[in-house]
Amino acid sequence: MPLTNTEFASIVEDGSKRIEGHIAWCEDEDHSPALEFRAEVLSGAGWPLFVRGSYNRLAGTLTYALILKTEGRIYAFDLGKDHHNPQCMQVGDKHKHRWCEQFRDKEAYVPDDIRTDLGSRSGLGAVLRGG
Amino acid sequence: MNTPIACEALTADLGELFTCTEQGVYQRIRTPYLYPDGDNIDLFCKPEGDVMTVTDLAETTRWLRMQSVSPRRSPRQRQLIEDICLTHGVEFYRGMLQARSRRGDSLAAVVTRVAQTALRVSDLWFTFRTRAVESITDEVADYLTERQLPFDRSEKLAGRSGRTWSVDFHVRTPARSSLVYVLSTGNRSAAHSVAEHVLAAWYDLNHLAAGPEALCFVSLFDDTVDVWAGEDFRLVEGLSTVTRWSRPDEFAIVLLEAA
Repeated sequence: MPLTNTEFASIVEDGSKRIEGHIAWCEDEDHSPALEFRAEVLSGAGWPLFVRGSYNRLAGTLTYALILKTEGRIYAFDLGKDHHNPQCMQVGDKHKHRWCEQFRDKEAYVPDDIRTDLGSRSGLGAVLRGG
Repeated sequence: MNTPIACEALTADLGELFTCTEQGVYQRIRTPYLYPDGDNIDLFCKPEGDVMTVTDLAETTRWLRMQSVSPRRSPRQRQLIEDICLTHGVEFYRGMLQARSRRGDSLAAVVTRVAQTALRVSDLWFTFRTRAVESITDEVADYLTERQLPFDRSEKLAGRSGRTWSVDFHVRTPARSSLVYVLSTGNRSAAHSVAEHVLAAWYDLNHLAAGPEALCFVSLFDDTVDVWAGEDFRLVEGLSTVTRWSRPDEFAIVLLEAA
């Protein structure tokens, strides 16, 4: 059953979403230059969610992605990589992807709540809050 | 060739859709090509003596992992990446797609090759289960193939009631044969209905669990999604062996061990 806008909105609005325990950055399966982590996202409604983070120090890129196990990526924050929207606008090197029925995860926007230094943790929190 | 001169040559040969900026010891080449979600494909080049290495610095495989529900690539996806790299003469090294531009080579041609490889590899996104192209049952089939366990899919069997059941797998190993139902749903409220359906199937087919060629009944739960309650497992465990997809090796042991 495909995700609906209503269901996506319910997920985003669920303020009980949280990660418990520690996050550990580690090498990926290819031992590439990137480090990554995966953490289950808990919630009162029991949404099957987890978050993935990836940082490539050589490419200068950072991504946090919120993934719904039954749909795929539904929300993400990208730093260091430009994006082309379906309307043919370039969004820039700091952008968020937000799922919708029409474009799924292909539409991105420039967030106004993220600091741009790669050491910031504000990106991960914003992805969980859906801000 | 140093990197600023390389970028000028690149722009001259490929046009202004390709732009270069510095990224540490690399020159980042922003290409006009896009990953399936619209993110731009960037490549990076670095001179090493007379050779210019063109690489994606593992950005393509990183992009794929940020889309993926599975913790790692399947054997089929790995094979597809190898095949793509073979077609384009690109090396897959530690997750990076890369090629060398040697003296006399066209840097533009090498960049185009690596860019096309990145495009094609990123299209593995279409093979992900959540893209409704590959189901969990396809993943199980891939696993059985990898473990060299012969099987037949979707075999139709007549139950004692006269109803025909389509069982996901009939696996035949030297020691025993097994029927496998894969229980999978993304919906917690549907989980119990799925378990009840499988229970009904095992009950109606239980004449096959008797005799010298008795079949082993295996209920394989897709527990990568947290939708199952304890009672769902207990419902089917009286008539089948319960296994979990999060522990595929245990599933394989059940199929291999003697009756």
